[in-house]
Amino acid sequence: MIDDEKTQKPIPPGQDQEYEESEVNIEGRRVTVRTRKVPPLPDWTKTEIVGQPVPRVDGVDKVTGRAKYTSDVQLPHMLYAIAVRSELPHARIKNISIEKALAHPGVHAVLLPKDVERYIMGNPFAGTLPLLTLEPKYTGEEIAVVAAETELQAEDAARLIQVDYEPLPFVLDPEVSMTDKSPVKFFPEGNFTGGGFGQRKIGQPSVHTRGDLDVGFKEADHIFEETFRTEPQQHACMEVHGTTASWDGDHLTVWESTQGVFGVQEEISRVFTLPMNDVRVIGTHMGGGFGSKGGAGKQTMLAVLMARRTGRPVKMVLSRHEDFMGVYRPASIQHYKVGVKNDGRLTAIEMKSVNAVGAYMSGSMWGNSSPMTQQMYACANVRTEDRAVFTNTPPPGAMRGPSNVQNAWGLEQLMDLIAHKLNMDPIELRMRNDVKVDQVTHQPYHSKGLAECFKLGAEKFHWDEKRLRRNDPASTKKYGVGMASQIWGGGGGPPATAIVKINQDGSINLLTGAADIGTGTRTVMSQICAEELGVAVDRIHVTNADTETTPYTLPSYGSITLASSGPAVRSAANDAKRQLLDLAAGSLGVKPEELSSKDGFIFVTAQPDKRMKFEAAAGAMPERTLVGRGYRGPNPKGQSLNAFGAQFCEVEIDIHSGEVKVLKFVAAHDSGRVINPHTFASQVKGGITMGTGYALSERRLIDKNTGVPVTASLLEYRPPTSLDAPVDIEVYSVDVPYTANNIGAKGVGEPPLIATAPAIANAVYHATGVRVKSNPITPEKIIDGLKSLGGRT
Amino acid sequence: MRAFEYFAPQQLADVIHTLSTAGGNARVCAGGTDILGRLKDGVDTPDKLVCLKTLPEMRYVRESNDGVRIGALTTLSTIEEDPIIRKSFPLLVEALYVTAAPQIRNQATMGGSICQRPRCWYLRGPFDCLRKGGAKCFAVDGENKYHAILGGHLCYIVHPSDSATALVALNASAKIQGSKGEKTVPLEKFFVGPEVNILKENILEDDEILTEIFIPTPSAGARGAFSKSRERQSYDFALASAAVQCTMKNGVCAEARVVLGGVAPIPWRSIEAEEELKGKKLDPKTIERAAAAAVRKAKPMTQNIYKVDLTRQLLSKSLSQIMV
Repeated sequence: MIDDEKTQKPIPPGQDQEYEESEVNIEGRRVTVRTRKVPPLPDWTKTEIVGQPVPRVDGVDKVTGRAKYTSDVQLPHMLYAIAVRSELPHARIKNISIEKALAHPGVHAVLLPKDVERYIMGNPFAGTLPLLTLEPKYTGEEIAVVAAETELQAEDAARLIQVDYEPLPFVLDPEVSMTDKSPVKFFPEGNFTGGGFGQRKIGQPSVHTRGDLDVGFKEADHIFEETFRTEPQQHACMEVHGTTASWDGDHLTVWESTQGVFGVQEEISRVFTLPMNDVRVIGTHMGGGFGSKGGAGKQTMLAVLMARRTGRPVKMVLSRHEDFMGVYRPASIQHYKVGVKNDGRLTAIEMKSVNAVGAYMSGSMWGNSSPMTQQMYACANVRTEDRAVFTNTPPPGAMRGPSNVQNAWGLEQLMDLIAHKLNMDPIELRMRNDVKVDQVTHQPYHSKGLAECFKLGAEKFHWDEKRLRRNDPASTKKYGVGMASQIWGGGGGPPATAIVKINQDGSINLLTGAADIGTGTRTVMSQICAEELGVAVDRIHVTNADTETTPYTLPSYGSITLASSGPAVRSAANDAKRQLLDLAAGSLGVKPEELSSKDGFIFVTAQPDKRMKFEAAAGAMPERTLVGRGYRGPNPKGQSLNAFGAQFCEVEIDIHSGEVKVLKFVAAHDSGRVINPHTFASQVKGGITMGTGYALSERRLIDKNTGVPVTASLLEYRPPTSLDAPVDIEVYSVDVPYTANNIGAKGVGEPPLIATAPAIANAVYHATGVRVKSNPITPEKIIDGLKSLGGRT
Repeated sequence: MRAFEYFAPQQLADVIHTLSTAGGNARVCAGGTDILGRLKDGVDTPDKLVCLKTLPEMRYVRESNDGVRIGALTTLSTIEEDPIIRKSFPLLVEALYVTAAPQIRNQATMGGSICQRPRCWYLRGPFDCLRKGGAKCFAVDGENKYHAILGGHLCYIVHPSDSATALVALNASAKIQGSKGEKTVPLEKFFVGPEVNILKENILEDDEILTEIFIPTPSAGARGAFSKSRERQSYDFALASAAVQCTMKNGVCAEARVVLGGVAPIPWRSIEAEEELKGKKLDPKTIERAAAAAVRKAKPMTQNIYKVDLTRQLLSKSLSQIMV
């Protein structure tokens, strides 16, 4: 993980000319890292394997159950650990009785707060969390851990641990917490801090300001004031959070369902003061993260400690219920005041957001919902204030498109509302406010294909025609269309290293630290490697996300995996290829630079029939193994690297039942070169499915009177199932050239979720005239909305 | 999940015997789609679990001259696909089609669907509520968006079964087997509201199970429709539903049964709506009057006022389908 301490250090002048500084944008947070200069590789002009819909290299393993996930790990003499969690949202614990639990059959140990208090998770920048606590600040916070030989024994023992609580007052509603009426005082200076990644100070919002709001509002022909709200969104990964830890002497092996094994290794190493070579973290297969598994979890540390205490391997995999009491996307309340000219140009935007971030500082980083407001549309006069408000709820975390997903719900509906008011095509309104320069960094965008997304998406969707359709007033079914757009990072960056080994039979091992969190990393990295080496994908075996056997890379967050590790993989493959061509040049009696490698042959470029098989060249390697190394080079200086996209959707609404059905989605995204159309489309469809849940059905609710969650299950939380995923999703890439890295690709992990929910909300408005400003768009809101419009239903 | 003793008897008599000797601490498991969740969530902690799957004789759809008999262990998907049911009881087929998800319908049984416990999140969560023998209903001043607008009394659960709503509209009856023998009751009388018993939703005693559903042959001119509103379209319990079975003669509604789901602790038969329909020509005005009558006595709570309009509209929708 990148933390500030490490990244802010300047490079001493005159030091090693091989390194330079590079900016990396992770989840909207810009950090500067020092990185190795990498010799540029020529752009791929024509590709054979890259760009092809290669099937997933691990697809068969996954569908046949052979792929081993953290929860599949079974070790001899392994114990199961379960946490005892707070039943109250805020309390002081007077006593914990563990005698009965310890006497229960199969129980090996119980850990209490005093046993773990010297181990603190997190860091001063991100905020810290106790592993176990005597003053729980939310329902579900960990108090103790018990380990037993079977899961059932551990569950029974957890129930036998008696916790005596002294209940304390609690507050759930951020708008109450912010006022003097709050029954809880989290800090003497106040109950909120700034949200986001800048310097945060208790009692002060984080502020972005440019121009002069008064001037902007004076220039405006229309002023819009609107409030939008978003509910918390839970990650609900198919694989819940979990860890299996095993000590072999002083050497620790941890299987972790994580987006980044190196971040987990660093944190374990730091918390327990262990040398990094004694901490091996393996996360080869994992079932979804969406931001919730960016680093180590509490269960990681507790499993490691419990394994140390008992001398046995320990598995600690959360239940679905526990998973639902953990990390999530925070709720937001967004107040906007926007000035607009008659021609649609924005003259001023004022935005104030309130974000509920749980009871610890660690959540406040995610308590921000204004990055799109700052960047998306040309506007000279802007002020945003984000307040991250403390509440007795679990700490939120990063979730796919953090901040922008919340922000888009408000901003993209607001743009739609303005377009309707000005009687203007929502695309036209957006184009009139298009901007080529990042208004926050003042850097130009390296490439921006948003206009192309609008054009292609509108054409494929038949936007002009569908937008003008009118509903039959007599029909109880109403149809409507809507669109929204988005901006995200996704340029990736250093550090990332890859190793390509060519074996003497011509087979290849690709070693990359990158996680495959279901996105297809292993497949696309194989394609990049195969393309550069000129061999078929099936000749490559990928080993990934294992701190002992693969080199460092940043975690899979911020849509950076492809654009970070992909170029390193290409560099490593190129390094290996150059070495092999050196050897082949001797055999073929030419200079290495005269050779090419393609389709499994090494041949003289000018005389293709003068050739040898790739494996023949490999068979002649004196060392029997050839190792290519590749590094991710720096990003271009002075430019902002962003991915863009536009989504269009059509809905059908039953005005009797209030039900909204998504009929169609067209998504057009600008992510540079598409490495694999299958995995690209899967990412987009997955994002739209997740956005459909955010728009229509998902709701996390904590009982207002007791502070206990009542939606901690897949049934009550209502994420979309495969049957809820829109059936008709068309996915397009606009293929705008991108040259900021040697593979020409930007990320597409998070972008496809950002525009989805507001596109649906805009379509609902178009269909019914009901503007639903808070998600989810339930039958209740449709029915109430229609009623307040005065329409007889 | 807590440990329990597992029984897999071969005969109904053995089931009854085990139940009658367990002192109320046994539960039956048919498809398991409800009870397993309750066991895993720790909201039900029986000593004994009696599996009914090993009973051979309770899976059937049989037609006779007076109606159709459905064995309690018949899966919902079997019933949904049965040609006799499809021909005679489109209302039931419509209800089953929007019940749960296909995988659940492959597993869930007729008996289980009718006898499932309510989905109230206080009943299913760590709350010592009235229905669990506690002191209060947490929904009254709590999170009551999904709770009852009709028939609530101290407790405000809603009955979760779509099939039960449809079957009461179809005037079905239930066969019950217990240690004292067999009996048949109208399905309508099978369910009990909280004013009768706050701890359970039906008349089954500890030693009794539901074995068969009988649906009488509909009279000539009978038409049925089922409408339901859900927050999640793939599978979800009803925010509200409306089952209607009418006998139409020359455009006039000779007989009508109107049953509402998702709005009351039992499948809620609306006599008020039926009275508005009987003997009337089924036109938009009649439909509007009947729909309004159905919710006239509704007493919404703080967060479920929307259910009044929703229920009215769903009943209009069902009646409109019959009218067409």
